[in-house]
Amino acid sequence: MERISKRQAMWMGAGISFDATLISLPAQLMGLSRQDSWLVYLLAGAVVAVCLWMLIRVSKRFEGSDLYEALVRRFKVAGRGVVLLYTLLIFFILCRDLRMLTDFVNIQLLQKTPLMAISLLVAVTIVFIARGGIEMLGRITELYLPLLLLVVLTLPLLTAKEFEPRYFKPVLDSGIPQVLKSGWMAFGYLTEILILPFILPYKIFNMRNGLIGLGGGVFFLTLLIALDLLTLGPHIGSRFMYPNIELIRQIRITDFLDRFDIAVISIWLPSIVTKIGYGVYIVSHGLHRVFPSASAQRLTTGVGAMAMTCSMWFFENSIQLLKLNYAWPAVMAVYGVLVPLLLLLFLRPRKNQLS
Amino acid sequence: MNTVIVQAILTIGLVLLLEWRLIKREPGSTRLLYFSMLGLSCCIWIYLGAVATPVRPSTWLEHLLAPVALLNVSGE
Repeated sequence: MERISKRQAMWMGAGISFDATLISLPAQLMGLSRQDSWLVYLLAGAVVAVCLWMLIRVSKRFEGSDLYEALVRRFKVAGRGVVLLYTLLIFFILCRDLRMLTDFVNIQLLQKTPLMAISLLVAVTIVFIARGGIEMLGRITELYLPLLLLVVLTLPLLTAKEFEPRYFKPVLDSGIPQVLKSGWMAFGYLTEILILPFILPYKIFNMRNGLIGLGGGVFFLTLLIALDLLTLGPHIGSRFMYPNIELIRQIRITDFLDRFDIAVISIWLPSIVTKIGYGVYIVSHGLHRVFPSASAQRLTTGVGAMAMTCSMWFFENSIQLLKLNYAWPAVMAVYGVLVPLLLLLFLRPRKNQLS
Repeated sequence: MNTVIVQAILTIGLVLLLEWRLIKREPGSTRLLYFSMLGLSCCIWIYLGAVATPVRPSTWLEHLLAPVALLNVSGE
């Protein structure tokens, strides 16, 4: 059986919370809650921590197995139904992230390359990563995510001369309802960490690792949005498609390093590709749980091909991806709050399994 | 239209060519799922190239979720 360490699981948690959220949400959050946007991830993170606690409580009841396995073993038909529902959810998230990355590369790096060609290249990469299994995903995450977080940690030093602390004021001027609405949007993305108990058993992904992973992701997202506010301000920041990239473009160390953003993107790209790779792995793994005789490893190619074409089919353009962010938290509330609550109440081992 | 069909068939064909030796050793359920997914991908690719304004599932999802969305998207 493939194994990853607790530390790798923790990095995976941080990666899931951080990698995709940092390009998709900041502009919209700043547009909604203006100078109070730095509060948003903290609020959403607190709610997600409660949801995570519910799922990990359930996971603790089946110490040796992940929740996909527990569901299928405990409830033959309904369990498979729940696994299939989560697999479809992750497939949608996989398509969304793949399209987001494709659009990002097309807008920022390869303007003349067709979207399908970029998508195909990313799909081939994620299929090879996912085929390596959870160990490969854990190792790549452990390699690139700390590097990315280190770069984010240096950003306050590199952008310090551009800081305008007045952009933070007046505090709560946009009103608490706006902050709560922004928090609701951030909740839609941070909830993705809840998929980890479904593929990792309790002894690898426990509450401590989950909270450190989620806390790390929330901390770095808050740091980035606070830096966006300090350097760009809420009014200009909310008008950019990718405020974090504009933030990095503010860094001018020497003439030689005037495209410092390329260096940062080259570290971020492997992280987001790995995050998309989790999606392919989880979908293949979910299909394997529903159809036990099917090989999860072999299905990765099919899942990758489907993700590539569906990412082009589901979303017309990057604007539609952003528009969906307003409604998406409602879906995640079902998968992140309602289903975990039901599992907490009803998913228990059989008495003879306990003894 | 013809270019899209050629692109889709060539890409999926290349995948099959490279993986055929591995896939033919797998059990029937794996092969069925594998070929279904590749076939469906090919169809979606051709559909996207053939239709000027394809039906987008996310547009449908957006309309479906509009009553429960906290924000009025059109007003933002």
